[in-house]
Amino acid sequence: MTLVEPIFDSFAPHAAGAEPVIATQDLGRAFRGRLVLRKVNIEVRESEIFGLLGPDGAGKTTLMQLMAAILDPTEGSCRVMGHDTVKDAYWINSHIGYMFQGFTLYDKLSIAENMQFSADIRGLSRELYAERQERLLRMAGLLRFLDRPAGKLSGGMRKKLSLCTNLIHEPRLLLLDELSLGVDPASRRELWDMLHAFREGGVTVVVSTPYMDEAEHCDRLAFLHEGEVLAVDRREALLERCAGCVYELRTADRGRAHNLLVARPEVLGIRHLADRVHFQVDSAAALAAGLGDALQREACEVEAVEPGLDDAYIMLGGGEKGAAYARPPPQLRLSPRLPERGRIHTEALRIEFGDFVANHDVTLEIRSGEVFGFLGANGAGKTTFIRALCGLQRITSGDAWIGGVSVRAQSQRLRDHIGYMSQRFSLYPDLTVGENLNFFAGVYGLRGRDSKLAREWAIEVTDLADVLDGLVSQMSGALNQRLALACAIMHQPEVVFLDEPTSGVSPAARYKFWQLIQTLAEGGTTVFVTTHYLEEANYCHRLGLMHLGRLIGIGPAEELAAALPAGTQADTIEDMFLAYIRIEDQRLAHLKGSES
Amino acid sequence: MAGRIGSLILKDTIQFSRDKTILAVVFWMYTLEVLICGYGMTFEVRDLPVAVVDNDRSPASRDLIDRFELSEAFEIVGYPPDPATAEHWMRRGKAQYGLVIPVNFGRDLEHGRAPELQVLLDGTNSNAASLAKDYTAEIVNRFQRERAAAEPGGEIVRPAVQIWYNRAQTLESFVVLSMILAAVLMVGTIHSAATITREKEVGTIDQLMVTPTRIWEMFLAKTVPTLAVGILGFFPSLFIIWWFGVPIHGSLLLFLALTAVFLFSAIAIGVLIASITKTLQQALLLCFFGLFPIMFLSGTMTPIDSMPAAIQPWTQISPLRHYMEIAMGIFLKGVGFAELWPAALKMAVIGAVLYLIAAMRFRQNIKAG
Repeated sequence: MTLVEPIFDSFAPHAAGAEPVIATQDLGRAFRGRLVLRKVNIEVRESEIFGLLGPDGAGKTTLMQLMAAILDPTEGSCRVMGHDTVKDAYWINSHIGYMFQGFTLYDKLSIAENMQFSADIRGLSRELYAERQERLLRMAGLLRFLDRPAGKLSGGMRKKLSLCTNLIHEPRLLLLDELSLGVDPASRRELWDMLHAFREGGVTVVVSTPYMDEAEHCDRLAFLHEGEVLAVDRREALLERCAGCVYELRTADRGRAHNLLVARPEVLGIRHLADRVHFQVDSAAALAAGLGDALQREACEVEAVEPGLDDAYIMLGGGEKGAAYARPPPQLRLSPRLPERGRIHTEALRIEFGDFVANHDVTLEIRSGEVFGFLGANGAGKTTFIRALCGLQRITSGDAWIGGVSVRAQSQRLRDHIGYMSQRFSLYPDLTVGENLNFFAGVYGLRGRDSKLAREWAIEVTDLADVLDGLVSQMSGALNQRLALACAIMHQPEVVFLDEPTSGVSPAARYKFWQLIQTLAEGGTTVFVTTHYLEEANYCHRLGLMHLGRLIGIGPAEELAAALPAGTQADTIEDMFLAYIRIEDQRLAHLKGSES
Repeated sequence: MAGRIGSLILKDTIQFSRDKTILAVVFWMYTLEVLICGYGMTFEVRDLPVAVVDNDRSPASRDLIDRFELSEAFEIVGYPPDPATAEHWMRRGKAQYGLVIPVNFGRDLEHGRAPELQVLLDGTNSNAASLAKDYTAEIVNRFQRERAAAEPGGEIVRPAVQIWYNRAQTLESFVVLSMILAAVLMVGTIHSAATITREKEVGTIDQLMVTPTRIWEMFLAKTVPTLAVGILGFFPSLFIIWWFGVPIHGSLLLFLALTAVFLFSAIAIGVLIASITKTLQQALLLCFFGLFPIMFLSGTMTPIDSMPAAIQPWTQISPLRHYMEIAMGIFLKGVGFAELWPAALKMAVIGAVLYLIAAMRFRQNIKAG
């Protein structure tokens, strides 16, 4: 990990009790007459890292743009560094740093040229530029690659460069929208280290993110939920609010336990982890007041657990626990099942794109009915692997088998037996939800009564009944995700591939999603999930760790952690994963060293 | 599997019907654009400014000049003293046509010697120039015929050029028809290319390829709605055809049937384009690059007979060339399937080959990721 020194020593220490850097007053914004943000009252103090947490569609970007004086408020007002965002928009624009979501670099320009451009449009003098450019790029670890075009950098490096271009004029306030989108875990740490260094130098930072686990880096947080601020506080204080309200239970029959919890009004949210059920109640007294006994009668082992921010978000949002436990799929006349059902195994599976090796001889085995998580950064080769198994990617050497049938030899035969939900939720935006379902039922050859039963089941378990006539293009990301899942499971595949299924989805929607995954797995369906959202590893029976196209570890999370050298810090999945990456990087460096 | 193909076709039909912009564009190309071109690319010559250099000043030369004066095509703007001045006028744009009547024009006529009329034409608008030439021949012929009739002893001194067809009318029919044919080509090619690349952009193509759907089934689903709209779109065009007085000498039903064959090849071009492009933008650009040679080679812009001999065989690969042959044959000449089947067969072969290449490209591309 890079050690970062504070760099903004030139800044004067701020006066105590001064005006907050950002203050909003009943701030609201409407698009086409619909309020997407309302009654926002927050204060961001000088030199703090302030996090805006919420799922996609919660209003994070809108709020960021209001603060950056790019958007004008529909209601209320916003003051930034003592200036009004409507009257002094130009002043604010030129005195802050605002990093858009996604990438805003010029791909064909080199790192140095991107930096130079950013300095030129801000009218920086040559001497000042030369000095700052070196300092910033050194800190970001990019100084060695000055001449490399931005388009050829990894996601993490691009993000760091993006950050550097936004710091060239040394703004006192940094607004960062979705900082860690598309960034690998190691680069994410480095980015946060940079931000902490800036804060030491007196810079105020506002970061938005849908990932709860990023909140630990923030001094204070605001939870954003459907355009409203649920709470603003320190992380510890938010967690304290849920003390005594979070439990986990173990049971042989998830379905019964789930339905019992759904029926109790004091239960706020239910989350199905790989081997246990996690739930929140509305008060610390709830368990003693009857719920505990009821669960005891169902032979559930219940224990209190430390709350996480997800729990706090659910509780502050009033909870949303969804419907009854998803019922198993209906009996249909399906094509003959595969000889080995949902078993997946690969042998030295290798995929090359020209000189680039996307998958280095990956060998693994997954049992029927297993929920398997493929963890890795963007570009680690996860999506390529899934696409190869789905027959969408030519395999260079080695082979993969699904249910005992070779992907290389008979990918056409496998198509009736796999479900694929791609990262992009590939649905027809100009068709309605119902038309999409009819279409996919049709292409999978479901007809008449079978088609009707399959669609009814999919609609029920994904909770789409109310939106059947809506056009997909007008649906939220969470709805699209549910529909994509429905389309991928209607034909009762033996294996379901889910590529980054829940990124940006609200915790409640994620809970429902994983509950359904549990139902599928209990019915014998193999579920193969890729994610770079490490929290999702909790839902998987076993994990595969991918790094630079190599499988660097496979097994249940606890076993992976236990297999690390003694003394390695691996309290969280992220720590464990980073430890594996470090070991792998050392091994590769060693190999390289002994070669030359 | 009828069920799967039915679902695929239904889906593409719903998508087509929901895209109001595309439907409006199709309607526009089949009707208003044809109308504009029919009027805009008119070949009629009216009140062409004429400078007359009358070196003879005889009753005969007066008679000839009067005939020019009376015709609707020409308007005499002045009498320059010599050909050089007439040329000067033409360069300045004061006149676009110069008529030089030689000395002794009247006397030569009477004595049976063929006098030489000199005609100066502004060639910048070659169509107008060639029409003016035709009109001149018509006027001079009539002048000679009538003088011969009036003076039985006199001789017809120059062979008469018979203008037996109304060239302006035929050209107009040609323009209107070829614009409609071009519309059919564009609808078939662009729409099919656009719908497939859109699926690539949204990512639904991958989703389709993990279902049991086969590539030819997807092609079929892309072809049917476009084909239907391509043919239905022709009906409003009929109104334009009537409006311009284009004759329909042959069978309209045969024309529609062969239009379907042509659309098959046009859609195949679009499918091929979609198989080698990744984005809608690339596909549209490639459509433009592809459509121009197809149109050039079709004979819509330059008659095939006037193309260099080395180019002429290549016109065979343009499906529009065969479709032109079919359309002109049915509408203007009234020929039937007996004469047109070779053209239809060529279109079908072109279409089939293109589909085959596209299918191969698709299979490769999808696997290559």
